[in-house]
Amino acid sequence: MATSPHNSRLIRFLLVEDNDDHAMLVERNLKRSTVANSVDRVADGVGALRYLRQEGEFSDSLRPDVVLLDLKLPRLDGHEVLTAIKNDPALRDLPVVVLTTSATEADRTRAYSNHANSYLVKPLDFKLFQQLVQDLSVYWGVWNQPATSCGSDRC
Amino acid sequence: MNDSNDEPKPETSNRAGPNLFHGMVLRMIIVVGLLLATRIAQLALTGVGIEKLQSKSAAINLAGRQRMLVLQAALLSKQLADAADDPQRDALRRKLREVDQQLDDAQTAMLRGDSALGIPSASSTILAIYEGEPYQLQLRMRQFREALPIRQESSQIGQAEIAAELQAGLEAIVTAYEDELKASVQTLQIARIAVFVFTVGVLAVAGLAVFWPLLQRIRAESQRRDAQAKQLSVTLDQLREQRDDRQQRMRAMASVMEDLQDERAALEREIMARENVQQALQRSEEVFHAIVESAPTAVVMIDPFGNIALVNGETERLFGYNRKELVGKPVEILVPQRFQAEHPHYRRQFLDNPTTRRMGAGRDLYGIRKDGTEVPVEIGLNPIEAEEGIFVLSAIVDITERQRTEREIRRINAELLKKNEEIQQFVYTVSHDLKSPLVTCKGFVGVAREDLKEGHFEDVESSLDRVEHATDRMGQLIQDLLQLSRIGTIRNEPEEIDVGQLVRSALSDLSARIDEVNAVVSVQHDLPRVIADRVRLTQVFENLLTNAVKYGCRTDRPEIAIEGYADADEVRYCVRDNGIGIAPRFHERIFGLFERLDTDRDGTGVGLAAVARIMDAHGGRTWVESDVGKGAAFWLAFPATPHIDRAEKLEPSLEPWS
Repeated sequence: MATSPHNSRLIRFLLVEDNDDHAMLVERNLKRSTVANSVDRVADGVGALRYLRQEGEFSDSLRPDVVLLDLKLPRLDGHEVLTAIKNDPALRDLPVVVLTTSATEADRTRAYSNHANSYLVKPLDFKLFQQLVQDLSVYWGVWNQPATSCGSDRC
Repeated sequence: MNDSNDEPKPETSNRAGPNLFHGMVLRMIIVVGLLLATRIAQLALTGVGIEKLQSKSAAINLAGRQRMLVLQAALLSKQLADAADDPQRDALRRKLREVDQQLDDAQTAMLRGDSALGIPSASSTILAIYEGEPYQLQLRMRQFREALPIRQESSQIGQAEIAAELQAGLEAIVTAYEDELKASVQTLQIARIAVFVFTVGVLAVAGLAVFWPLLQRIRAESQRRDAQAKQLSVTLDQLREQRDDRQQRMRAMASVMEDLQDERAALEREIMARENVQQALQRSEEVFHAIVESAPTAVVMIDPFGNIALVNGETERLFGYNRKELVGKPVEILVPQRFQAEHPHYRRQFLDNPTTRRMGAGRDLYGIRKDGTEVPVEIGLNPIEAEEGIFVLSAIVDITERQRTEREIRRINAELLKKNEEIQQFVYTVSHDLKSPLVTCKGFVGVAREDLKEGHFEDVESSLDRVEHATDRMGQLIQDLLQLSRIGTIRNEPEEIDVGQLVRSALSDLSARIDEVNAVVSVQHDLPRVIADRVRLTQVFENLLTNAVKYGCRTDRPEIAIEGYADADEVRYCVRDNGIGIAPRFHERIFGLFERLDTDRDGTGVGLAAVARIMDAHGGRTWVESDVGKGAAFWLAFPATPHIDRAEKLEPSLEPWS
């Protein structure tokens, strides 16, 4: 993990991605980011919500700073996960960044109408993918001020 | 005196007769007599009167002569007195004596009357005068005269006085005789007047007596004649009036005759025109009938009371009646039972506002044939005004074909929409499901390069593996997609299939995997047969069974059952498992393209979509009955009468792997 002059503390990502390869790509690039971060991954929508609510096998999970959400998920669709998060008062102000291969207008519109914080399309080009992940971590890890300040023991 | 002898003879009617005549003559005689009498009397009176007058006149004359004599005497006396000598005196005396004698004679005549002179004896009045002063004077005078020659001077004076007195006396006598004369004249006149009046009276009376009845008769007659004349004139007037009237009427009749002739001419023209019109009408009717008869749609014309007035051949054919059976019947005979009650109401509505229009806009219309079968129709209504009311010409089109075509179109539309959707899905797929492996490929190529650069050679191989797998997946995806796109059409000849056999065959292909999960499979032994495309049906069952094994066996004692039922409408099959089940809200979604509920790396999410497609092509359907924790039952239903969609055109170039 590279040290970064920008942030003093670790930024925690939750990656919700069913495709192992894609997950691998994201994790690898996050690891190489200049911004200190940690990534937890769940492979489907149900798992994602359980993680966020610290249910069952995720009772020890820490609240992430940012959720990276794929849309095409088994069991629970990405859109539904997004809706669930944004409807949950406890999770509402958690930034959800949609990270998907889908560039369709329908998905994008729907995501925003469900209050996605951002909508990112996975680039085909590896270099661009790297850049995206790097920028992602800088933006959310350094520039973006979180809604809730860290004071509770969850952080 | 009017001469009354010229009386007009009255033109009396024959009724007057001889009586009247005699009476009249008598009366006339009397009248004449009276007249004569009065005439005689008149004459007598007149004679007498004249006599009297004459005598009075004579007397007056005599008196006048006496006066003259007196004057003469006076004068002579005077002359005597003035005489110069005796011879004169003697002559004068002699004259004087003559005059005196004459005076005496005259006087005597006056007093006694003298018939020779015609002088009447003096009346008492005259006598009175004579014996009066003047007479006495006269005597004195005489005496005097006797003594005259002696006394000249005094006698002159005395004589002048006496002469004057005598004069006066004679004047008085004359005056008295004149008065008597006047009185006699007056009396005579009165008498004459009296006689005149009497005569007139007599005449009048006589006339009246004679002529009164005559007058009456005349008057009556004239009245009668007047009346007659009046009557005649009235009659004349009447006749004139009648004549005028008749003339007028004749004129009127003449003009009426003229009018009638004009009318007749007009009527004749009209008749001709009408005949022409009639002919034209007939021709047009023939044309009309020809058109109606030749029309490709059924034409039915109803009269204002709703009875069929006219039909054409197409009507006979469509409804299966002979036209004789239809004409005159109420049009409801062609309307199915359930609409018959309302139909007259619709007819009335139409007549209230008769315009050319389609009947029953918005309603499905049906007719009923003679054999009781119904036929869907479309009806166009056309009002035709006639004297008796409004006829309605209706064109009836059998829309069975059209409905079928419409259904076909709807179905094709739905198909097109579905195809469209699938195209959308394709687009989506390309943008996502193909993109995803591409991201992987490119991503891990990049990773590999990085690793190579950084000297992590051992990691490179795993990157390459991932790339390969990703491209494999892409290939598979493309295959599946292509296959799916062709599933919509049945390529093979439908045949009657022994489903039991087919199922068992599919199961044997999956036997390895079945063993893996330790599933117990039971197949109903009398699965009904069905007519279908064998290849596709095999695909269906393979799909369902694969799913059942993959997802329906995550339980302790997995069981899979294949069932089948057939009834009048459908042939149904069921693949049942006792796995974890599917929440109802996903029941529809799972049949959609690329919808996956599970994190399955193998499937591409095409299976159930393909099943749905195939069932649809067979005119059947598929659905799932399931709930969480309650297993799942996937159903297939085929229609009892096969309704299989055959492809028109095959696409041989797109079948490298079927």
